Amino acid sequence: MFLLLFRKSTDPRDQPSPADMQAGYMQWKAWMEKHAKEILEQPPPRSGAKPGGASAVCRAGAVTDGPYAEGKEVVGGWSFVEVESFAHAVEIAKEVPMFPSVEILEITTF
Amino acid sequence: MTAPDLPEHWFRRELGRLVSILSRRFGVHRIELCEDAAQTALLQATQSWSSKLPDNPGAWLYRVAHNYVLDELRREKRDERYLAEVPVEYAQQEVHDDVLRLLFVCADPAIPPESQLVLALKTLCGFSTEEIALRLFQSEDAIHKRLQRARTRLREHAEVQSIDPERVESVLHMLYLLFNEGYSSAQPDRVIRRELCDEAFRLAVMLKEDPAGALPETDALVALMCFQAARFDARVDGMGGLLLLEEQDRSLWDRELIERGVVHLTRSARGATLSRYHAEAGLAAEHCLAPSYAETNWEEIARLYEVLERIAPSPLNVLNRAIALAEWKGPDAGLAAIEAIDAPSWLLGYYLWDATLGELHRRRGDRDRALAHTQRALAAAPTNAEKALLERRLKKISK
Repeated sequence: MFLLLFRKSTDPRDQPSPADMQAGYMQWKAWMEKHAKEILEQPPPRSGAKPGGASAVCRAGAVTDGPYAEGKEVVGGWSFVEVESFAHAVEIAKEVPMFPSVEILEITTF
Repeated sequence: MTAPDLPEHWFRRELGRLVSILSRRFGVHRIELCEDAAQTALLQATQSWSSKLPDNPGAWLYRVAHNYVLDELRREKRDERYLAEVPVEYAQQEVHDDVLRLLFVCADPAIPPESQLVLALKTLCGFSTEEIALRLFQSEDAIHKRLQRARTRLREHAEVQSIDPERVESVLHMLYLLFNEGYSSAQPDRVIRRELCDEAFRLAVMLKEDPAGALPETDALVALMCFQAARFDARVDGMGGLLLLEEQDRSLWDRELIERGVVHLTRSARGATLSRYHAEAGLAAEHCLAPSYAETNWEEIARLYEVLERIAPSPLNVLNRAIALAEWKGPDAGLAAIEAIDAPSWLLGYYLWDATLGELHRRRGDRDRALAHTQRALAAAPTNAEKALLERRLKKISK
C-alpha cells in the first residue's frame, strides 16, 4: 500500500482561481474514476511507514528521490492507494491534478 | 463513487457568495481574510467532492471557510470576541441579501469607479487578479494596486458598510460600466467579453428584485442590458469581423431577450426621473424593434440622442445624433449637425469621428473627402476588427 501526499505552493501568486478550480474539480473527478479500483475510500485504521519501503517525489512529471518539499510548499491533501508495485503507484501519482508535487511513500497496515 | 458535474461558473459564483456571507459575519474590513478563507474552502472542495458531493454543498463550504477565518483570528489573537464558540449557521435566504450588501459596499463613492469594478470582479464574481487584468486590459500590477487601495478604504471605514439606499446610483453606474466593459471591449475573445456582460446582468437583476434597488432606473438599466445582449452575437460575422448595424442578420437577434427588455422598459416608465439608462434603453429598443435598418425610426432616434445629450452631455451623443439625422433627412443634415459640434481635440483624433465624416461624404458623392476621412479613421482605429471594417469601406468608396 502507498500513501500519496499532495503538496502545493503557499505563494499567493500561485493560487488557482475559481475558474481553475472548476477545471480542477473535473480533473479530480476523472482521476478518481480512472483509479477507482486502487484508491481507498477510507484511510486504513492503523498504518505506518514500511521499514525499508520505497519512496519518491513526483514533480512536474519528473520522479526523483527528493527533496520532498520545496521552500514554500505545504501538504494540501493525501490519498491511499492499494497497488501491487511501486511503479504503478508512481503512474497514479503522475496523474494527480492541481498539486505541483506528490510524494509517494510505501506504508504497511497492521 | 462519482460526483456529478457542477454548473458552469459554479466555483466563481460560490466564491462571491462565500465572501459576501463571511464579510457580513466578520466585517468588510477583513475582506481579504474572507477572500482567503473562501479560496481555501473551494480548493478543499475540488478534491474532497470529486468522490462524493456533500448533501448541502453551500453549507459545507461555509463551514470550512468559517473555520478558516476563526483559526486565523485565533492565531492572530486579535479579536477576543471570536475566540468564544461562534455558531455556524447557514441560511440560504440570507445569502442573497449578503451578496447584495457586498455589491453596495463595492460601489463606495470614495473608491474610483474603475476600482469599484475591480473590487466587484474580485469579491463578487470570483475572478483572479490575472483574469481581471486580462478582461480590463490593465496590468496585473495595476489591478493589484487598485484592490489594495480599495481594501484599505474598506478597512478604515467600517461604519458605511451596509445597504445604503443613497448608493443605488453608484451601484447602477458600476454595473453599467461593467456591462459596457464586456460589450464594447477591444478584447478579441468573445467568450471572455460575454462573461463580463453576464455578470453585470446577473447583478442588475438581483438589484432590481430587492426593495432597496427596485427603482425605475434599475429597470431601465436591465432593459438596456437585454437589448444590447440580444444583439451580442449578431455583431460579428463567421470570421469574427465586425458587422455594421445595417449588415447584421436581424433574425439572429435574441427575440426572447428583446421581449424581456420591452417589459423592463415599460416598467421603467414610472416616477419623475429620466435617467441616461432610460434614454439609452429607448435608443436600443428602437433599433431592436425596427423590422429593418431602412425602416428604423430615425426621427425618434435623433430625438432620444438629444434627450441623452441633456442628461449625460458628450460630443459622442451629438455625433450619433448626426448619424440618425443623416438617415432621416439625408447626409447634408448629418454633416450640418457635425459642423455644429465644438469638437474637443480627443474627438477630432477619435476614429469614429473621421469614420462618420467619411461615410457621410461618401453618401453625398464627395469621393475625395470620403477617402481622406476614412483613411484617417483607419489609421486611428484601435482594434483589428475595426480596421478590417474600415478597409471594407475604403474599397466601397474606391469602386
